[in-house]
Amino acid sequence: MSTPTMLALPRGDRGRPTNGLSVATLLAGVAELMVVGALVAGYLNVRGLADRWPPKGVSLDNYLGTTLTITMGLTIVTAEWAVYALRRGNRRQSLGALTLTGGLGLAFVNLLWYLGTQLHFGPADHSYGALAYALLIVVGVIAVGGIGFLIVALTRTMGDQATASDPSLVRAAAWHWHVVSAAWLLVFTALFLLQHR
Amino acid sequence: MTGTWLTTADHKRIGRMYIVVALAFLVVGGVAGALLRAQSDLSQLSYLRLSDLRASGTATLVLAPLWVGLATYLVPLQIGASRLAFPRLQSFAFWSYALGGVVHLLSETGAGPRVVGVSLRQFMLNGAGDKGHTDLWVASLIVVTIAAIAAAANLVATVLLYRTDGMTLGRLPMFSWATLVSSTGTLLAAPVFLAGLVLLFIDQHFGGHEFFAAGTVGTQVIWQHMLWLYGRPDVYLLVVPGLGAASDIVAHAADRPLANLNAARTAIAAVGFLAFGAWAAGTKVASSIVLPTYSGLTAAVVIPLAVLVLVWLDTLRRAGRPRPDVSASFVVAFILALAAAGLAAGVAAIKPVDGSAWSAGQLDLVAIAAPLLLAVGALHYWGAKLFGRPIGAAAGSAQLLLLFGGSAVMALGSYLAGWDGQAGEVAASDGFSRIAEGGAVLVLLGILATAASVMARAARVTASDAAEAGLTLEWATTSPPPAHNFDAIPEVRSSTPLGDLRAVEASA
Amino acid sequence: MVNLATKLYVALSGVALVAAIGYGVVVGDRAGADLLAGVAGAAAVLALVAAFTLRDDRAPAVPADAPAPERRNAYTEADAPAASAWPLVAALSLVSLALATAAGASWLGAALAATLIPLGGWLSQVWREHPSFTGPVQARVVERLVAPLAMPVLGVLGALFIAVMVSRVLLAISTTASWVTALVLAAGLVVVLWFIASRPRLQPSALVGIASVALVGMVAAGAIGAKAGEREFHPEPSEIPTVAVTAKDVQFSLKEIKFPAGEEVIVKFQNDDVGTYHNVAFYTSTEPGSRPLFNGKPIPGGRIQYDTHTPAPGSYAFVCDFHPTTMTGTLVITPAESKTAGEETTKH
Repeated sequence: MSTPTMLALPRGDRGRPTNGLSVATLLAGVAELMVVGALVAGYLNVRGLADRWPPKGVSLDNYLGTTLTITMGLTIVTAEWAVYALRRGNRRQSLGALTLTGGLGLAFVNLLWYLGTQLHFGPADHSYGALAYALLIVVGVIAVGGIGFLIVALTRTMGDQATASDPSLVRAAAWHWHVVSAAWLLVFTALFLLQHR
Repeated sequence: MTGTWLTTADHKRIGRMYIVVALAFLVVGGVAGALLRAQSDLSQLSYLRLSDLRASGTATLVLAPLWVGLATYLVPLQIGASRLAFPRLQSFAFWSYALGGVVHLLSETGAGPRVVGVSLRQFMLNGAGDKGHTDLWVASLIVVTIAAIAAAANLVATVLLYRTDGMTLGRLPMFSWATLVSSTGTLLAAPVFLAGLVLLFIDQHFGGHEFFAAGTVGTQVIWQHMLWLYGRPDVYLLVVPGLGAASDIVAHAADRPLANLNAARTAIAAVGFLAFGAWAAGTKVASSIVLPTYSGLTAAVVIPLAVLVLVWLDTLRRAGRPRPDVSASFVVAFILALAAAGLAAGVAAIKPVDGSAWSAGQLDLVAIAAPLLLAVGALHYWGAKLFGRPIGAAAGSAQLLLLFGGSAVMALGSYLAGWDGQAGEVAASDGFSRIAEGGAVLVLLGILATAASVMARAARVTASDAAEAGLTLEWATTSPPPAHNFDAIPEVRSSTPLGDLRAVEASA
Repeated sequence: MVNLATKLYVALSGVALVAAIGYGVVVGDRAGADLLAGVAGAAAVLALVAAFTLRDDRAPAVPADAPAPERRNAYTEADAPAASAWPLVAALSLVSLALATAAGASWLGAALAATLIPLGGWLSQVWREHPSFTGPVQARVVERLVAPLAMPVLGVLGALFIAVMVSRVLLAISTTASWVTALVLAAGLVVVLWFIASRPRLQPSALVGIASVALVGMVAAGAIGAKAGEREFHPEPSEIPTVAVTAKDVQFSLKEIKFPAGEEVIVKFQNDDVGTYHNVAFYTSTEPGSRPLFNGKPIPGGRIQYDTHTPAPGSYAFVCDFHPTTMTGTLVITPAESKTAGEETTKH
């Protein structure tokens, strides 16, 4: 079966695609958003059927939610800036933007943890508790994964493995961080904007 | 370079490992179930747990990974690539599935989990279960689901990005197209299951029984959409790769491309879309006529299925010299099984038999037996490519007889028992239920026979240069292929590149 | 832009959206409709990805007079992906996380920390496989990064290991024996190192052998010592007289406090009237104008520990400085007990 035609023909294959990492990141991102979306759907469903929502004695501090949202909003800009700078060959700016995004991400996770400690109800107290903790834990896990991705992009850019000619790693890390922002936006809408019936 | 079977990143070895492990789980589950059912004093709770393992265990731990394994092996070959998009990710997905599956089965032993199972429409607690087992049960399912999502993303990326020159999406072999559809579906549906599992874990781990307890309306709806086996698209997506494989089998039997590629592609995609109709199951619908679907949208799957069968028949009609082989018989068996299920559904319109043993039989036939027939047929069709030597027509016929015959007997027994008024999901010992159990034994023998012959082949993969005259790219290299898949690849100008090449070489 | 994948995803998105709206309106099940709407949104994103990634997905144009299709060179051995143990390790790590959820919080923490191992290993392998990672680059990385990091880290870990193992042994035997053992170990170390240093042509295998013996010996001895458990320690007892007082509903929980004279004492005070300031203060008597002996720090709630010194024997009073009329009690100071011989007095 394999009788290669050893003429001076071009290779029959296409070579490796350059945007594979971004595509895979967006596919994974869609899956992550579906997890959060499903929890939000459940939240909205239970909220619509409850007598009293949120239950007695439960109140989320809007200040914390707004701060978290502003933090994520900032990271949209810094993540895109990192890609933009790398494409233009400005490696130092790109590293700075990645570090900034990572730092804001750490601040986000930190404040998210603090929000969790201020909840004054347990995950098993009522259905609101289960849904709220599920939403916060899932978005926290996604954010931690996103920070890990950023750290990988940062170190590999420092090692010159992501350059102006091949910025795919930083592009993928930025896409993933946008997914984290979108996930937080969904959680914020459910827990804060739609907090009361 | 290619490493041992622990460290390999070769998609072909990973695909074989997926198939072997999936069949191993099938054997373990089948034998355990048979041993348990042999006990005459099975409590209702144990029966329900066993029943759940049979349904959701087969779907999650056997059928889905079986298709993933076949796709892992075949998709890069069918599209003319040398590798998957992310080879080591697939290895990670395989090992997570294998180890997670073992932990899941172990969590069912002993006291068992507090949750009775996800194939039940209403959330049920097992009073004897304990917390540690429950945590393991849910956490291991989370691991298996993460593995499924990773594998699905990998396959979608491979089909989209790694096709060889000339292989447009319109020229994809039907199995690769079906893999694209079903993997996209898994990518969108499995995360919802994951969300449900997270909620279940939180509820059970922190001791609260507020969430899925009986009577809490809102959370019952969440259970039915996010956790219940037949309320999720996942189980309906299991038939999609099978339809793609069947299309490839029919094209091979007819030795020509499918009569209407567009119609076949659209029909397969439509089955995938309608799977999501599972979420449109009105949660107050008490019962369903067209099992295992509980929503009208999913029941509409019968339309694209009919279109596909018509395309297959048309292809065979136009065939010059049909080359039927045992895998085509499996496709025929699949069609017969679905037709039988359709007839039985008509019966339900005459006499209300839902909720009785009739439902159990219908679910077994449509959700488990039918996709299993297609999967075994696919293993026979591509057996020569996977293992070097084909599994053999004699063994295949025996397996077909046992599997299809057993399923038929099992279904018939259940239908008659249901007509007779026997309640479903209860261990029974009247005449018709005995017939059903006899059928189940036959199916188990078929499973054992299939697993034995596949594993025997997989243990000693021999190289063969036998010219298997196929139409698509996976046949354009040795069986099994070298590590880099292709030394030389035919130029792709249509959906049957090898067929074109053979026609040219024959006329030259 | 419009290729078959885009069409597939747009169709899925459209079907899901129609189903979401129809189902939501007709049946009113919020959860199902929202899930379908989520699919519609996700499929739209996938459609965009497919549109921008695959563009038109056209096959190369084949002119009408082109020669018949033939085989072309495809791939070589180099195109096969390299093997790696890290996916297996990562899978083990994920499954151990699942097992740890059933085992407890400390196991979970350990499992989480352990996930860094496969992540780091996988990253290092991917890093080394990048085409820019040539020989000179690798040498520079080892010199600038791995060695400066690995040496201290390994050194610290090694020191910790030795400390833990040896300490298990030394804690298990008696005090005198532990002194002797430590001196013997130190002397033995000097002898072994002198032996190694005085033989410049020592084979590497001999060094490995000595190191292995030492390692195995330490692990074995450490394990035995840990199993035997620590020897008995006799901590000196603290016998500071302590009294606990609670303030609730503007009342003290005790009417009388008794202390020995001339000693350090502890008053453990708990204020259950949250928002109201209370304290404990010692006075010579409850008459106004009496001399204060001790004024504890006021607290508006919670707990506090007062350390103070008792006066000569007699009868005094303790009050709350904010509610001296309602919160009062008697402070009785008894003569100091004579100490019996043999009992050690303790000083803190």
